[in-house]
Amino acid sequence: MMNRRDFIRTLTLAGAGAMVLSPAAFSALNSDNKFIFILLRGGMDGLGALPPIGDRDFAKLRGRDIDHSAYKPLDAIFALHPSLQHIHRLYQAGQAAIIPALAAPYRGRSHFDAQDMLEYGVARKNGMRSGWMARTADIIAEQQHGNSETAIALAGALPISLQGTINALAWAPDRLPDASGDLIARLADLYSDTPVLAQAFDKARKSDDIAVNMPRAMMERSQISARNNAKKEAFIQLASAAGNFLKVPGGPALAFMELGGWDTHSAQHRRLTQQLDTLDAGIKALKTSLGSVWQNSTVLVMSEFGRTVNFNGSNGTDHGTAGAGFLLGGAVKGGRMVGDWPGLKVPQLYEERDLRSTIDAYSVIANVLRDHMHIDPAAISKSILPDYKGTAAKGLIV
Amino acid sequence: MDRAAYILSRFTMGGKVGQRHDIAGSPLDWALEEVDKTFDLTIIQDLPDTRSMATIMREMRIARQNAARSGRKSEVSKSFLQRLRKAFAKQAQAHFRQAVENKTSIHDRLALFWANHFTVSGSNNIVRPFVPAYQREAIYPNLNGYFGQMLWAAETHPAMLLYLDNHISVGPNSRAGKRRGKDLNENLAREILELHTLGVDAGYSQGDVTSFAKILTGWTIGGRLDKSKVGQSVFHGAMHEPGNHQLLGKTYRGAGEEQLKTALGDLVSHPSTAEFIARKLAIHFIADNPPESAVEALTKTFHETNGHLPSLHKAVLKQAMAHAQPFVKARTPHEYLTASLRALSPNSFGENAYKIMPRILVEMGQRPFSPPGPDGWPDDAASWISPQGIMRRVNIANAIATRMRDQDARSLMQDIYGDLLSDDTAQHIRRAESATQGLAIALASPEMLFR
Repeated sequence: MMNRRDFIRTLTLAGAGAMVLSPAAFSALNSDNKFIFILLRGGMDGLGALPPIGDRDFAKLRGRDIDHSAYKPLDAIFALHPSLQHIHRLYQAGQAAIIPALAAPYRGRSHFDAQDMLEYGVARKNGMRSGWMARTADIIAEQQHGNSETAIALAGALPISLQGTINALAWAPDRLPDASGDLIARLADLYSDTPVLAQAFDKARKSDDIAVNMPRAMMERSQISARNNAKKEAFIQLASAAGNFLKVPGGPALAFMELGGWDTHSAQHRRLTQQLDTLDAGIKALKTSLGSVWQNSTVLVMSEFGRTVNFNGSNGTDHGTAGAGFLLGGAVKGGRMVGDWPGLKVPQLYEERDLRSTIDAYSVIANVLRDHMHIDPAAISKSILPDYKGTAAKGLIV
Repeated sequence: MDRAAYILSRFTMGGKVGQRHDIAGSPLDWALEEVDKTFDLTIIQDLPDTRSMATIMREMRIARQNAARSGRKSEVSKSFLQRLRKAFAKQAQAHFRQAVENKTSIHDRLALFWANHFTVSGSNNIVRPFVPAYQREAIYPNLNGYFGQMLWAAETHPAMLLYLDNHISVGPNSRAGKRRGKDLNENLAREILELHTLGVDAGYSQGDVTSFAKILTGWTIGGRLDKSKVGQSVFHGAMHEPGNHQLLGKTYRGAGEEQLKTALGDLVSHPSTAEFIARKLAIHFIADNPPESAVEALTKTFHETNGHLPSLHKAVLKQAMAHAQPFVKARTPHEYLTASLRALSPNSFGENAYKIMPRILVEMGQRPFSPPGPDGWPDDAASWISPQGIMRRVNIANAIATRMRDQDARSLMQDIYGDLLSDDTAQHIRRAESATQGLAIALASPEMLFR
């Protein structure tokens, strides 16, 4: 049977809004707290990152995916993917709360729309022109009387999340990383009908600094791993930079980071291992770089949606609904799972194919904004997350 | 086929959002009318001209002579070279901007073609500062005139005389030649015949080249003695080889200056020139291997109009419509970046885009204004779609996409290409895992790599 100990039935909790403080009281509160939002673009497979190995239905669905010896157990149901070593340590230290069935309200399966809406902080397209983090940045700027750079995007350009405010800046190293292995693979597919492009591109992929006599299979693997190493280094660099920006006295309170490459329609096992390894290394770098500020920090890691519970015909998964989310940081009431586990039996699934969501991402964000960033709940529901009518989750923050 | 999208892709520097819709009614008529209009040069007016660049060079020469005595020569050179570099960079950026921001840009493409036909390359450091001004002075004003006018303006421009060494070509029997024991330099003569008019297979002989070089002697750069002539070309009779000269069986008599005018006029009327130019236009606007019927039609137009460029340009437009094959002409790196920025404009890059373009172009193997030789940049897919080249473009596409937001590649590509957008590309964009990746795929798509 499922073990539900420590689960917080967030959505059924009444009275979370009872926490009534005046705006003046909020602005007087600690303003050194940091909120880092890491958007995993492409749709991370929650069942791959956070396998519910204690759920018997999981073995039926993903039997071939299970190697009990390598997984890092969390409780009677869940374990973490072996790549997530560092997040596992955070969990053991009480600094990671893990949400197994998290989703924003959008229920379509388009990456573009799902990411846009999650970044605008809305439930449907409604003409919103600024991101939820941007609106938060403005409120924090007001609270901090004249501090004008309250948010930063570790990216080449401002993401939607931070568009629409003068209080955000974007930073990325001069030289952005080369195209990822995933983009290269997609283009190779696109070029296949244009022989002149296909031939040149194929040669370029083969000659990417690889020794001439290497067998083809090995060659492709090492090319991909070279590109993935570069991607990992870049993400570590951005995470370290984020820490440096945030820990400056009077520095930004909000940071946005992103990591693409989660759209694992094929060969998921290998790709997810690399993606999670990159994510884990980035989290570690962020914590190290933040130093003591980690104690005042909350990091929300999530994707625009999860993936199908079943594998498709190419050892991958397709666009789904709910997925795993991670709340990390010294300020997080961690070492536990958050939210109900909806189960994997067909009737329990959303549209009989996807993990059903039991926690609304906006309730988690609202909770962090209220209890961690000390933002007036009225401002949250009025201007930051206007489409969110539920009650903010409670008890996520120490 | 979406004719509007095709015309914008093939005949301009790349479509901008909304443009296809604007001309959708009768795209060919629109383009034909545009050809007859004058080139809108608002963005590149008021730039340093050949004369002002030559003045800096002249001042540098004098200052270096003076400084040589005090031993400060390198210091002096440094500050002048910096001035030259700045003046060049300013012009280069303005030219990039013109190609990106000029709305219609049919003339920008025609200018690109003709500047490449009459290449003066900045691969030579002394020539380099003059190249943009050369294009603005010799090529751009003649796009709506006759081939012969452009030919004259190009061959007698100081930058061309300098680039192909005619300024130091001296008739051995001229006064200057006898006094100083100097001789001919046949570089310009050969390239005019081979690259600018007849083409290499026209059957001229070494004798013709030598003879033509003699006709060209005396055409040099002013300013050494007469300050009022700085940055101008002059005909210096003392350097001109006296006597009559034979070229392609015809004897050119008379005073030196007139000889060149008559000889160039005859080269324009030569049947080989018509076919050579016609084929080159067809290669640029129709296909790497254009249909012979198109080449013949253009050759005929050249003959009938005596090389009237707007007539030729309109004829090649019609031929390209008749033999429409979208996306078979590879964009050079410069065309590629320009088209990408046009598709994405207005964008947040602003002036920075034009400042970093030279560096990116060098990385992509196309140093701005500096083709490897007088034959200009290659104009075929095989030269540009190399393994290294394509991977660089993919990385650039990725870098641009990473720095852009607010661009939905799906609607962007649909707007620019309409039915010309392949289902395959549309699908790959739609299936991208993020808006950024979608934009990277759009920018690296065959629709953007080719025109």
